[in-house]
Amino acid sequence: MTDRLAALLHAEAEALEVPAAPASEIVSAGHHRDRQRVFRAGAVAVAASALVVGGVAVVAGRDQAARESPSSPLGHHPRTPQIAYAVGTTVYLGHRRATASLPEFGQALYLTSSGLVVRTNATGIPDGRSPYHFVLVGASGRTRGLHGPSGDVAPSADPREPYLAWATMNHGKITVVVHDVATDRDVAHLGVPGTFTWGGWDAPPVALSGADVYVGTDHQTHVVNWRTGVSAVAPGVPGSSYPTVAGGRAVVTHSRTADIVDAASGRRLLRLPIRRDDSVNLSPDGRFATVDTGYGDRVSPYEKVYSVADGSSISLPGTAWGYGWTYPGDDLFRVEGTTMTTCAAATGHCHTTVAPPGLGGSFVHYAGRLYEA
Amino acid sequence: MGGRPSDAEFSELVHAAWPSLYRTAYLLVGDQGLAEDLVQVALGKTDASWGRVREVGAARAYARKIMVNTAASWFRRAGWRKERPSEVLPGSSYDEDPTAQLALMQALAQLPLRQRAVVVLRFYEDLSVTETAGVLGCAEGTVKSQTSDALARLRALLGDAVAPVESGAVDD
Repeated sequence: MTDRLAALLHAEAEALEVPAAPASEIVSAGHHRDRQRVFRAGAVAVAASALVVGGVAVVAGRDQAARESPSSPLGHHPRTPQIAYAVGTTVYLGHRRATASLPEFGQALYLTSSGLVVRTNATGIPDGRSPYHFVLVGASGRTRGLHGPSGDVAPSADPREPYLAWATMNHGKITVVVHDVATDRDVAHLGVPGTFTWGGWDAPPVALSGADVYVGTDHQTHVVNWRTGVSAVAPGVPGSSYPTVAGGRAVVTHSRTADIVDAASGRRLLRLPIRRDDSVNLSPDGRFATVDTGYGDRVSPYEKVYSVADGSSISLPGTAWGYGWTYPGDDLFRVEGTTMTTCAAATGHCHTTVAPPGLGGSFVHYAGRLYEA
Repeated sequence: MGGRPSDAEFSELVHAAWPSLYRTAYLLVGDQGLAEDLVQVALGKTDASWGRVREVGAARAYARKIMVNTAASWFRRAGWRKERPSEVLPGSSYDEDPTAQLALMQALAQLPLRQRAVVVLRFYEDLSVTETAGVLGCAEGTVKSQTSDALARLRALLGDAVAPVESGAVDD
């Protein structure tokens, strides 16, 4: 019997002083919500060609890429968009002022060296209940459907690479998939040890940094080099956590501090003070760390940006999770109404430009965030 | 009711569903401010996707499902970790056994979200395994195993008096 547990739960809940329902706020917010017509995507989800052989990486004819220094800037990849964001079913490519129409609502944006990859679904609700699809958006706004995971998984991309990585689970076996978005073909399937029960996804979340894929399993974060198939435990990065890795740097969060560590060695590069509910992220190249004030801080939310190199910091006003990153990753940007604000991560100097009309107060999905629900 | 509700009708729904959703949200996230935010987001999403709700009677259940999934997405973000220590536990007026009550919230905070959700949905919301699987979007077997794991951990944290060992208790 679990009557005692049920009684305690009810006692706890019934003792709460329930605040008044903010009905007018909810109804008012509903009026501003994007109600664009949803266009059904074509059948995109087709089984990808499998290259898995016994859990060992199989590389499909690509040369070994030279590993860049963890602190090196992103460099120049002409097909990686400089500024990209999505509102509803439209993607805006800022500097070129090109737009792309998506077949469904944009959910999350991934910078790759072959263009912008957008995860979409039919409802606009990122709850994993509606199948996800993926679209590659070129610099001119041309779109092409991609094979990708339709389930509720957490993919990752590296702006220097033309790949999207994710994990799958089949009968408890974890497999990492690396997909070349330029050719729309899988280039590697790799078995990863461990179990996954801690998160709510269909498979462990991953982070792609160069050729390394970090996988957040229950007890460790594993790192597997998809080109060589060599797998190891990521030093200093705990298990049961979302792998926040970019540019060879990783975030390790404690109760009141967060460390930015060298992902290869686990060596601490920077320690940041954080408060409960703060969220720590990295710029796409790992040169900057951001601290978003948490959900409990509804008075004056802001985003603090730290240079990993010297620990200097700036503060930017705005709501938590309210900024994207430009490519290369020197600036943060956000869009409000018809104003785009771009701020230098190193100095905090900001300037504004005119954003495309019609955005209103709609929710904006930004490129450059390592994860968005 | 097949059409979209008027503002007044939706406002009425919000008022009716708010208290129970708030209590469930609090048990899920362990913080009253976050619970308030969570319910507000869930009801907003329910409003935005009314076409999937179809009738007012199903709205509360739909909002609950959205709420659990939204909580999951919050927990996935980098600032949330599996075991976030809570420096200040919320106060309460439950006076029958304050020690056990404090321990209950601490123990719930030690559970991974899905296990916490399973405990809350099954033993607070009194949902069946099938209904819980529907809310969480997972297999019934997963609900059973997560229930078993959660109760095992709660037994370790709270003692057998709260979550006693009993064969078959999780398989209904």
